[in-house]
Amino acid sequence: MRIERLDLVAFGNFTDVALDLSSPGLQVVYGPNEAGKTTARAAVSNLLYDFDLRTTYAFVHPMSKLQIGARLRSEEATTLEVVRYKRNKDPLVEAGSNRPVSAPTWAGLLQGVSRSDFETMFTLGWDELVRGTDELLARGGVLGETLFAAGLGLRELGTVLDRLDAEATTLFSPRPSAKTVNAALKAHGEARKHATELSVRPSHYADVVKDHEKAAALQVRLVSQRRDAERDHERLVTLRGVLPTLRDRTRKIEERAGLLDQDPLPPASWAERVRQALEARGELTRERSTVADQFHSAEERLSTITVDEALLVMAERVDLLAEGIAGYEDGRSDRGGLDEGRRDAERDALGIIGALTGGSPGLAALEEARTVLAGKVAFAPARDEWTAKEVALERAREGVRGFGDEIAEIKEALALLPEGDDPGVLRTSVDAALRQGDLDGTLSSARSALGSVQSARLEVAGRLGLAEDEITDAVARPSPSTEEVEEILGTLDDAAMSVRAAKERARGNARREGELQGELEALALEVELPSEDDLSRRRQVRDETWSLVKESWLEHQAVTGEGTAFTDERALASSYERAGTEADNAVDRLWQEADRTARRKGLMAELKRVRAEHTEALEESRHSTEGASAAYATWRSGWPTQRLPDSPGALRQWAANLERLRSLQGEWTTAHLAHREAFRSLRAHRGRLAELLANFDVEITAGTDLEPVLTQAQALLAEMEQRRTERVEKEKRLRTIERGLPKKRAAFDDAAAAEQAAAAGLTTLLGAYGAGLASPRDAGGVLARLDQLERLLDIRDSRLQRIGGIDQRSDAFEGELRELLTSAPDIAPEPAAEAARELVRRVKTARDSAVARSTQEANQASAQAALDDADAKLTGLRDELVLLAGEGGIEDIEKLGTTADRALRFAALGEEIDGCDTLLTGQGGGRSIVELETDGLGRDLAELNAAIEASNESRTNLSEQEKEATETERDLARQLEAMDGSDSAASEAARAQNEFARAVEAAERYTRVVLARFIADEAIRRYSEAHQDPLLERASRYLQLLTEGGYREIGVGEDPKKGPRLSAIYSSGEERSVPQLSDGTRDQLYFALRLAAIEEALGRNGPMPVVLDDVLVNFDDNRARAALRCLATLAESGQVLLFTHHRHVLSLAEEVLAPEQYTVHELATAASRQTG
Amino acid sequence: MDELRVLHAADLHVDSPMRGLVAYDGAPVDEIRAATRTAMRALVSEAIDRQVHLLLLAGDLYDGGWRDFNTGLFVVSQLAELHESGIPVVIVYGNHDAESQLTRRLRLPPNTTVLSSTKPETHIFSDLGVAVHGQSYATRAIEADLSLAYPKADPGLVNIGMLHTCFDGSLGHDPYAPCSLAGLRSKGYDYWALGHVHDHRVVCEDPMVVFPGNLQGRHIRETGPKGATLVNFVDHEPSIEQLTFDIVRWERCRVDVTEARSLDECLARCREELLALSGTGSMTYAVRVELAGPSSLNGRLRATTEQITNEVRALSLSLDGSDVWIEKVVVATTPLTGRPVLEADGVAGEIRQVLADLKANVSMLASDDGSRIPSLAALRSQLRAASSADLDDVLDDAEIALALDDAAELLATLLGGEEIENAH
Repeated sequence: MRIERLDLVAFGNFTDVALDLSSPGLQVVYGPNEAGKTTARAAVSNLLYDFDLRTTYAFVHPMSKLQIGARLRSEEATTLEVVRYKRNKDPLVEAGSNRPVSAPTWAGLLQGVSRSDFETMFTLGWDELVRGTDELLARGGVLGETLFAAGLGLRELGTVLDRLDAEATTLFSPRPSAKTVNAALKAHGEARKHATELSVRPSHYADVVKDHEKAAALQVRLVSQRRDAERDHERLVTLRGVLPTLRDRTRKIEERAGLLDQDPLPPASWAERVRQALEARGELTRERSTVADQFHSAEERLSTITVDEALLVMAERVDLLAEGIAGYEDGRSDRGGLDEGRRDAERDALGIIGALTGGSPGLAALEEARTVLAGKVAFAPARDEWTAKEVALERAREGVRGFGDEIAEIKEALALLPEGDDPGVLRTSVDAALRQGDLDGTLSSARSALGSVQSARLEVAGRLGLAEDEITDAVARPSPSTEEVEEILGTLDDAAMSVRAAKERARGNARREGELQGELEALALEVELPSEDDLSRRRQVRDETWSLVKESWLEHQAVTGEGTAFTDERALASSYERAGTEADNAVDRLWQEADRTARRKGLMAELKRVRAEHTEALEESRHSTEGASAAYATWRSGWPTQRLPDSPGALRQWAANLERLRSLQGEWTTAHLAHREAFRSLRAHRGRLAELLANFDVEITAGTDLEPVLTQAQALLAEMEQRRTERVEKEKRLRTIERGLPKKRAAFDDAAAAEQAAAAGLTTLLGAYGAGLASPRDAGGVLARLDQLERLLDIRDSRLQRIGGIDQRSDAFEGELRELLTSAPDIAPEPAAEAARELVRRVKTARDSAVARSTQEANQASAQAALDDADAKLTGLRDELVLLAGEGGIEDIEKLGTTADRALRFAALGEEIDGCDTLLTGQGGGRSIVELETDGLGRDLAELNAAIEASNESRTNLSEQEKEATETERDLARQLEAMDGSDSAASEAARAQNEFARAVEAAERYTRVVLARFIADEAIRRYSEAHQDPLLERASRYLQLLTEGGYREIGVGEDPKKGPRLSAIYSSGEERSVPQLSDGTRDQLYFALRLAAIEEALGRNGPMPVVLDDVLVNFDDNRARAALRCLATLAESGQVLLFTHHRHVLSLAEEVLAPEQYTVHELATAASRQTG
Repeated sequence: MDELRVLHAADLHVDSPMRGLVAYDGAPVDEIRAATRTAMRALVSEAIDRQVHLLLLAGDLYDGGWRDFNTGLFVVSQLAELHESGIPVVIVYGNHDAESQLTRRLRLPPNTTVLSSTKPETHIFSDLGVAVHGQSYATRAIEADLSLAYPKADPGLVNIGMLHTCFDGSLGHDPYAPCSLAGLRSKGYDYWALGHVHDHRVVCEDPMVVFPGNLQGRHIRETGPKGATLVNFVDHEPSIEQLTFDIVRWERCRVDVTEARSLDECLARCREELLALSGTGSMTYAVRVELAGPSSLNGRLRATTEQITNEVRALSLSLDGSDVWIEKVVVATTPLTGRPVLEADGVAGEIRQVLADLKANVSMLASDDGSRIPSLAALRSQLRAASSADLDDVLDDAEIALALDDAAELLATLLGGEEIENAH
């Protein structure tokens, strides 16, 4: 089939453009960019195979108006003019008659070539050529794959195969690994194992129950035994505890019995009174003896004491003397040191006087010195005044010198600070830039905002299928409002709801139909029916039996007989009953069948009704659907300038997008203006500042931002202003100093005069103290010596005064001592302090003796009174004892004590025995004293200890066994408690199933992928086997033509590892593998293979249009010429359309092809078509 | 007694896991894991609420191979609740129970009677006026008709027969303890409480012969409502009411995508059908979605099954009403008439020829002996080794044959130059 004329009636930006393709040879369609070359190419496949569902070529003409026409010539040379519309009904019609082109007619023209085959096998673009060549290199020219891909026009076979392999690799590996299937199987296995671990085996549960019962029984038994042992142990321990008490009690009872054998035994109260009287007598006797001893002792001491009464008389004067002894001795001791100090002061003072006067003066000079010192009052102020004047003079000198130095410094600094450099202009420019704010940021924000709006705008435009240059026009075109969109959608929703309701009704009817069918089938399942004969037979049996019954019962005849089912009346009755029942059952079943028949009829009628309703509902659904489609199509046609979506479902989104686009268009315009304004402002300020900085020789920072330049300008400005301020301040200071300098000089002169006057006065005063003291600077030394001399004279006077006082107090002390010693002539008067101390000691002795004598005299009188009192009490007690003896019937009062003791012992034993009884009752553990005596008195303590020891051991053993049994029981109880019917194992098993399902799901995916790969391999293998030789032969021919004989043929090399590989063989016989070829040669190799495949397909399918799009773009002129020759050759066996936008291809064609071998068609640009 | 209420259940398979469900984010995992237990709790609760006089469990309380005694203890706890409410229970063990070790060790509460496995046993409830006849399985494979030895009906009592049976073999389950309607009818019982068939079936209404179905579906072959049968006897005449107790309902959801022009529209159709299925209830559904009908998207759908599956799972999470767990999405569409993708020339034709040859000899692709695709044979072997015995159909030849179609479509779509990701 050939296309003799292509009518681009309304397609893309073509309107009523026709291409006459009827001439033989290569059809070269030239068009610059925007001419619609791609559109024309697409028109060919759209013509042959219908418009694309969502065609992008309805941007000028609305979808419903798209139209392509053609005149076609079949292989049998018949022609057919057709027009294709973008519509569902009769999209392809014969031109003129508008009759639909029949499917067989069209299929015959297309010669069995499907759309995908046409687009892969009969079309080739430069990009596909590039991709094919790239893959040829990437796969290394594998023979089978390359032939398969090139032969069938597959662009990415290698990529697809790699993709399948990669996906299979991620899913499964036969060896354990981390692939998806393997991992899921592993997780499944682990979950199953975990479920098993969590499971409780039934046998284990039974074992635990059994063990627990045993452990509980053992525990009960051990508790009982342990308690028995504890009771026995407690009894023995109690017995051991009370055994001493038991024995003590027995002994006391025996002793008390012994006391009863003696007479008399007065009562305990008498004995108590006797005991008290005897004790009082004994006590009184002991007290009297002690007092008598005290009386005699006082008497002996008095006889030894003597007192010196004479010393006692002057005791008070001696006390006063004693107080002065220490002062006397200290004064004597200090006097020598004071005298030595006096002599040192006198010596030093004389030395100073000598130094001042230049001689060796005697003590008399000391008194004269006091006169000189009086003149020091005037000398010190004179020296102070001179010192002050001298300081003032120095200050005045410094003032004059300082001003001079500062004037020099300021003049030097001013020389270094140049005048000129007015910062005013720079300041104005900087301030102007600063007032604009952050211009860099503003520009950046504006740029960012513009970019964002632009992205959003293009994105939304893309969603609407609009190119950027179409946006302005699109938003300006009339379009349905949101309300109008909602209105049509509401209409469509209503229709959809009707469809759903109808379908729901249909489903309900279908369900009901199924139920009715089920009921009918169930009715058919009923049991077999009895026949009329069977019923008659059974009734006959019943009647015959009834006759026999009547004979037997009413006529009393014997009814037994051979061959019957009965032998006596009882059996006969049963037989009758059975026969009757069977007959009744048969009747019942027949009635049931009648019921079923009626039921079946009812069900059939309902089934018919339900089916009719079902059909009606489906029809209604279809009608609603078609109505909705028609309503939408009508509505859409009302907006011809807008590309409304095909599907109502996308309409709301489309309207929202258009609305959004309008909004974004406004935002974009605003953002664009803002960006332009910011840019202009920034550029102006930066330029001005850069110019000013250049005037100051500042090198400008590179870039377009304002901020760095502004910073540089601000830095320069700050520097200039600082210099200017500094100069003004220095000049002002210079003027001030120069004005004050004469005053400073006058003050210096005054100070010098005052200093000289003070020095003259001081020098005069110095002359009074010694020769050679002519300088006022000597005044300081003279004054220091005079101060030292004054202090030495004061020391000397003080020492003389203290020595005189000491001598006076020593004389008074010694006089008083001598007078007191006249009463103690045996004491030596010298030394005085020792004599005074001896006198004091003797006075003290006399005083002590007098006190001792008074004490002893008082003691003696007191003892005498106590003796008299004791004697009177003893007489009374003897009388009381005599009376008691009489009461007790005792003759000798000296035996009163023995009898009283016995009576008291008897009473005490009674109390002690009661105490034992109380103790035994308390400690006996509830046992009576008699029981304790019976159990314990005969036992040995050692034997008892041994029994306790044995009992203790038994108790401990039992306790440990019990503890062990309790732990065992608790452990088993816990185990039982843990077996609580939980579903943890079941949950884990469920999880295992989830994992297994995951593995199966991934395995299914793996299966599909690996099968797809396997099918691909098989297809490649088979294709290669079937097509290798003819394809390579044709391709070799084309390669030879394309390379102008440079390459002879395409060969097949054997890669020992990777199998057969394609190669190219030079005319010289040299063979090169695909990777060794140059890029251009690889292009040609792949091009040759594709041309060979196209030629083969044309041979197989008959002539078809071959569409080539700029395939020569990468060829140099020589190879392009060769390629054009190839295409002209190919055009001899089929129609070849070569689209190109390179005009030089036309020149090359003109060079190498005869005029009859090609025809050129030029497409004007869309703009020129519109203006033209 | 004027009215006797008997609840008849069978095939509880307690703790038997749900099969074929891949857990994914948002899937109602917890609801599904404990489904069989929850269903049994609901059964017991309903028996107590309705104050039934008797509960009959007609076999297969447990899964045969399951050995966790906790399952038995759970069942006992439920029977004990019935005991506390004074409801007696009669059990016949089925083939799975006979295999299970749980049945041999459990100590059942006093209200529970397990009928003998050595011969038919009759248990009479004098106070209810009921005689229950039945026989448990002694071994897993009982091939004899146990009902033959059942006693005749006891006159004056309501007679109920219990039997775990495949019935006459026509219902498609393991052929254990077959019986015939005539044989059952010959016993003169008022009601036959059967078990073993997992669908609810009323085999006969006179006498009433009923399979209640299992209590909870466990895989895609057990679809629809599941539960137990409540039998009301008035003067020995039974009437039945089917109650549902399933927590998770298995359903096949057929989605006709004939009208769909894009994958989005396919998904919209899925959403509609799933909404219609799940409604506004609180049931959890395990759903196999089957895309069907002649479709222009046939090849694309088959090539992007995983993507479709993920999309459908994602949309199932956004449905109002019941929880929906998508078990699987099966693409069962056919090419549009007149545009068979694989019946063209070119690459599609090459693929079609290979496909035809491979489908004629599928068994060689993954056979254990000399597979043409060894990794596929290894995959099948590993899956079968990991699965339990009743899942031998995993990756069988029939599945591989179906996968071949999908694989061919996948390859054709990929070589057609369209990226799968951009397919819609």
